[in-house]
Amino acid sequence: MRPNVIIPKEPEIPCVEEFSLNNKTKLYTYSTQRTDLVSLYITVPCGYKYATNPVVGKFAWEMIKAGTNKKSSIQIAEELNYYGASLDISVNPDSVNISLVALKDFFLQAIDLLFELLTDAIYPKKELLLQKQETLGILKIENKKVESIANKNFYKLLFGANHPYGRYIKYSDIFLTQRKNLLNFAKKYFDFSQSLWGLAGNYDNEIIRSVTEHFNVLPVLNIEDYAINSKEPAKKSLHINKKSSLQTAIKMGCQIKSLREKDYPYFLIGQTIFGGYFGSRLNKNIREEKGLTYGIFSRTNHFKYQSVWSIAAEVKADQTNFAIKEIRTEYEKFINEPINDEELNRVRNYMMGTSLFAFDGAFNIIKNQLKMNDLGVSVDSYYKNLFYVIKNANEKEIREKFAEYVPWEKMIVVTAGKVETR
Amino acid sequence: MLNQSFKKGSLSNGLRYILYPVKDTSLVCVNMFYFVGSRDEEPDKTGFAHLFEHLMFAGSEQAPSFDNEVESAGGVNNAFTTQDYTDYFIELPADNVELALWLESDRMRHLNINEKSLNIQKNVVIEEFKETHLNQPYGDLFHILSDLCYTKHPYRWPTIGLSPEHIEKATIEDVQSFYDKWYQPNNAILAISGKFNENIEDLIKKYFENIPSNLISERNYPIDPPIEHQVKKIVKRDVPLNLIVIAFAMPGRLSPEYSTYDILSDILGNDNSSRLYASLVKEKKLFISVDASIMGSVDPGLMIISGIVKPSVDVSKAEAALWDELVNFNKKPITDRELEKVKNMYLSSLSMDIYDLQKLGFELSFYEALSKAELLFENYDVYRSITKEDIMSLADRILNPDRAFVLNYLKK
Repeated sequence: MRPNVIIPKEPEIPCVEEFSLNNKTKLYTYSTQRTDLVSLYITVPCGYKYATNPVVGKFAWEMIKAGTNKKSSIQIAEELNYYGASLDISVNPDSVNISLVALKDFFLQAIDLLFELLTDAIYPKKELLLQKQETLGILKIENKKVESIANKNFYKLLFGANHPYGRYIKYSDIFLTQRKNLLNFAKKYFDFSQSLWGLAGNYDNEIIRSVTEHFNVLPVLNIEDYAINSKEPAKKSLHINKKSSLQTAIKMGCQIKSLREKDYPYFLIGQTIFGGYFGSRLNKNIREEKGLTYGIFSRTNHFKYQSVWSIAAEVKADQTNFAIKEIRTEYEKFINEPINDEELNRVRNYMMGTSLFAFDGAFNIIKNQLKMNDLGVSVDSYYKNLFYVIKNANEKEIREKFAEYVPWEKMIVVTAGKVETR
Repeated sequence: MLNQSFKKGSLSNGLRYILYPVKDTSLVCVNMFYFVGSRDEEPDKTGFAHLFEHLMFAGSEQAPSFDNEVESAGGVNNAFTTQDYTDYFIELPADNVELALWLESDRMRHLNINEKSLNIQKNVVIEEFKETHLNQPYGDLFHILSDLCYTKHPYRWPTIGLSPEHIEKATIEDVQSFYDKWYQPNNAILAISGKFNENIEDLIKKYFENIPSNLISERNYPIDPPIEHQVKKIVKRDVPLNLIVIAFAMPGRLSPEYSTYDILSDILGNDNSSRLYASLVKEKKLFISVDASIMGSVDPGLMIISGIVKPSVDVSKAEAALWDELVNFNKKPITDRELEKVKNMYLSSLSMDIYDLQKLGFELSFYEALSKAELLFENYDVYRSITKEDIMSLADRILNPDRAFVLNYLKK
């Protein structure tokens, strides 16, 4: 006998503690005894858009691990490994996200090391050469994958080749990067005045004190962040021919309004029903009924100043046109036909239940806090509005907002693979 | 130290269960581990265990749509198949743990097996085969390597299968007999990690106790004999960079030396302070990257060292330099700090894994299936007890060109 399903309750928004690092910058903390690990997260709004060559911005941040006046790259790697630490640095157009995870017993030493890297990176020439070769190698491998080709051409078409969100890395960008460019970028743009800080896991007061003390020695340049406008896409579709490919990668979508908008959750429910979860319309039709793909999903991607909605799949090469036609059919059906209660309630429960994941565990809570703050949203107001809409939106509002956010006329379609699709 | 308190139990039909309560969460993960993987397939029908994993979502007697049920309860579910096992998990709000138990019990008792879902999932799996193996640079690497390193044992084919044709051949009779043979309560481990109430054992009994079980036949797969001379293969593919892989045979998961192999591989090539990386990437500048790891298989497996050669470097020169590092491993004594470092990395990675409810449930099930769930934590003491002498003695015995499988995966 099927047990009764308990409708997922509205998650409680966790209470994150805040400490002031200075009059502008806060350190968000969430403690747990359930682990021996501590994580420090830093988001700095000085991404690669500040450099004409995106590789300069990326390398300037990523290569802080490549050497300081006191330590070689191998010594740095050895220390991190000894502390059971991983230091990840991910650079996007607007911001850089730094995460340091280490064993509690070594976390103070790991913090000392991180701050040495942030203030004393020297970018040795021989390390730059190695980094260039590694990046070039990875890029060459990526350029063989239809999914990567479709993805970068999608963003290029959507924002323009020179816009930071559409500008992808070319081989020449790597060749042209010099040590002096990195030193210059670090000097001009390593600015912690608007940075966001988070600490999670099994930390103690001494760790908080150490973070606070170290923060005070970081450079403060008060750089004004800015958005860059994009033009309308030059065309609606693009095919990149890869004759030997067994599948064609499809990437299609458009720019959408920001998640800061009050009506965004209505769209989010619609996007979830349409292609945002395993039981979505797209996946049911194109994978589970027709077997054309291993998986098809639609998703939102929020840059700091613009947001994108896209659909992606790799499909049987000779069925590409058919798959795109089916996507269109599902779109029209979604816009025009009422959503039945069973499906709508399923998605309400699914979205409410899976919201818990963002609030589960100290690491997720703090990462989510920084991500939302970086996008200019308060966790409290965003989720309260989201939960309200999940509970109260009616099916017509959902379809109308979906059609308003993503009108078919705005859609661009990029394909990479064997078959010329148009 | 990590929380090691969990409870175990078993039912009269042989189903074993593990309960690991976690306080600061409102979620629960129901992990169902079946001890069947691609090593249990017929040589002419490879890829079947993984195809079957897809069919486990095609609905069961009382729950025609597995995914819809989980999603309606606010949860997510997924599964993965390896050479040794297939693991299924549902992660959802703790209030709905009973629904997850009902769903797992219903598909253990009576799976809906029909031609339509078989045919669709064959297509989906063939597309997965293309997306993850055939249409990717280096995507057939494990096909070639498995074939090179094994001649007898079923590890000679990868989990995805030897070719899409094998998937196409699967019949409804194959599906039924595989289900009857392996998907039995006495071949499964149920692990529940997260938030749950005291009545959880009553619920497990309610849903699983009446499922009948079958005898699970003993496995007796042929083990490949040790090689006396190097086995080498060179292939050319449409890839941008040359890749060298060196593999050494190693004992299975329960062997006393398993963890020494693990530590040796970490010293050799785990991350950017490892010996091979420091020497071959940083100092001699012959490779773009280099890595060493163990496969972690239940039966005797492989320790694998792989490196992407710099474009300007001759492959034979790079391979010679790699061998130089391996055969001279013991000329540079392991320091206390070097050993401590890899042990700290192990503890950190274990801590990260068990913080995740799903990984925790899976790891406990896996060790329970092998021997006992407690090994997940006891292993840490085993790793702590390994000495420099243990590692050097092992290196002396195995890092030998005559005992190696070598693959040069070259660009056309």
